[in-house]
Amino acid sequence: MNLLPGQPTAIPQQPQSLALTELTQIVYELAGSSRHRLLYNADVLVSHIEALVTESIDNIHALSRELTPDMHETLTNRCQVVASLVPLVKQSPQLQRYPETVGKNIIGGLEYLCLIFHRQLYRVFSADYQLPHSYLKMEVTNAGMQYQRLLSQYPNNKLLKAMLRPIEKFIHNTSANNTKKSIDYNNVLLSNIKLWQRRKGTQDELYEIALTMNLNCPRFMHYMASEAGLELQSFEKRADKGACIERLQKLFLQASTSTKWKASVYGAYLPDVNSVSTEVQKWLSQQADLVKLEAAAPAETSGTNRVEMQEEVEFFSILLKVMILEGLTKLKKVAPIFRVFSTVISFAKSAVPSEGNLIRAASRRVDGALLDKLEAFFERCLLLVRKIRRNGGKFPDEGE
Amino acid sequence: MYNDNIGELEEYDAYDGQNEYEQLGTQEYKEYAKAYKNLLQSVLNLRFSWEKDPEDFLALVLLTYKAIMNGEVEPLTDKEIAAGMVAPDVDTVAAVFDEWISVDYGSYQNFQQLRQTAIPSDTIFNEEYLALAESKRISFDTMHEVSHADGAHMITSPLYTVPHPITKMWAEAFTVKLAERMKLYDESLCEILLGHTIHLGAYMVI
Repeated sequence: MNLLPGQPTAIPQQPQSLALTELTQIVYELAGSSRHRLLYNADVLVSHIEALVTESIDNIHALSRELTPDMHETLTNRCQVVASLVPLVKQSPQLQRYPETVGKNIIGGLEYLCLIFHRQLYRVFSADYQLPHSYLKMEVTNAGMQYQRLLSQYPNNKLLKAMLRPIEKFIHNTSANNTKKSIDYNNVLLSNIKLWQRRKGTQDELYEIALTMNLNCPRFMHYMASEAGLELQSFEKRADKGACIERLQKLFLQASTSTKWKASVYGAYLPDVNSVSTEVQKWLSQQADLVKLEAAAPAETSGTNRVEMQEEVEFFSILLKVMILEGLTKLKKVAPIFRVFSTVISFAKSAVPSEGNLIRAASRRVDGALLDKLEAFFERCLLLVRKIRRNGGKFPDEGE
Repeated sequence: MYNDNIGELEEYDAYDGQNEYEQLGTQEYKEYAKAYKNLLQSVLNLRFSWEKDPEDFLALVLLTYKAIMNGEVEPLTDKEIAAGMVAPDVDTVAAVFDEWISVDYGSYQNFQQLRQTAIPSDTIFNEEYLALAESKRISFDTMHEVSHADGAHMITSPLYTVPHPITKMWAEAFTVKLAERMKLYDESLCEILLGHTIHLGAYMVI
């Protein structure tokens, strides 16, 4: 009642896949019959599997030359079957009873089969297809070599290192980055960087690559923002800061219209995160607003309308901080309150104090002399309060 | 069903002298069971297509239903009902088939119409298969069944040497899917029956 392989009407599908079918049968038997005596003679098993693997590989090679779109799903599923053979055989109790070399040979053969299937049929997979271990192993070795080489050739290029973060993640946490999409992304990134290297490209060109590829990896974005932030902070004058932002803006426009680099087929590195260009634009306009605000503050206060302080900045800052912390204001944060005060007071040594001055003075360790001064001040205040009480609620000098 | 075989099962263990499944809870075993389930699932995912007539499909569905209902059919217990278990019915069996093989209903709109208007063909799928499956199960005294804690279900039986290995895997995986949807009164008969017959209608090759 064996109606199968030889039956003429029964082969509308690819007859060439029978080797794979037979292979699956062996795997099934190895996997399922753990309580039987060894099913096969060890040497026969190895050579039989080797022959089947070779035959299957030849078949898939022939098949891969005449692919049509309607076969994609079936072939993807077939690859999944192949991919699930290896881990099963590795764990199979039956196989563990064979000599170690037999097991090694069989698993080696199946892994090779799996690798070839996935290489031959790579283009039929959908973006979310998760590639099996044997394929990933090859990709990890590849990416790892290029990654190490780049790091050793550009040991001080922090930008490059930040951009290579996806590769680093892939190497160290392969199982979480095992889709076709992420492998493709990494490979495009590496090939762009290789091209950049060959052209002896500039740092700005690295940014171009990142924008073209929409490298919206958090670590890279953070690196970019902190670098630009540092550059911006290095300018004292408002005009210089404005110029810096303008320059960055120009660079950004130039980079985002560059066509020198390959884009990733599947779009952004992280599909659910804002794109690099959105984030950069947001950051630039934020910084521009901040610079404008900075500009507005000094304009309205020229120094004449300010309340002059008896003591110096240090004393005032600590005093105010103490009072704020003890609940003078509803808001218990120092910085915003200092900002307000900085626009209306002046000191002997600095007529137009900045918010930063006040904050810095308030965050230093308070020295003994200043503490003495503060204590004396508060004692005078306390004395005054007592006097007012004795005076029936009136300030002493307000008269009788 | 299986309970009758316990004595034989013990004999079977003794004959082999050891039992790897003693380590059911070990990490290796869990990985093994997971890999096994993956293989079964990927075989199901191949979605073979039905190549015979719709009337033949109807016959197979009815035959499968009979296999599931084999033996003593008791009403579902409260516990089973609470667990979301339902009693088998022909339409659901057909729906699960439909999920895992592509069936062309031809001139019929769907399975319901097929069932109401067509006469099941008995040229390919008939009661003989049911009898055959059962007689083989009964006569074969080393059949054993292992149900794993994690739900992977494996039946190892030399009964399976005749049909195609993919058929066996498919039947095993499909029976698990069926059991997720309804109570199977005779799970192993259903699996043996399908293992022997499914390839007659859906030719299975990887």
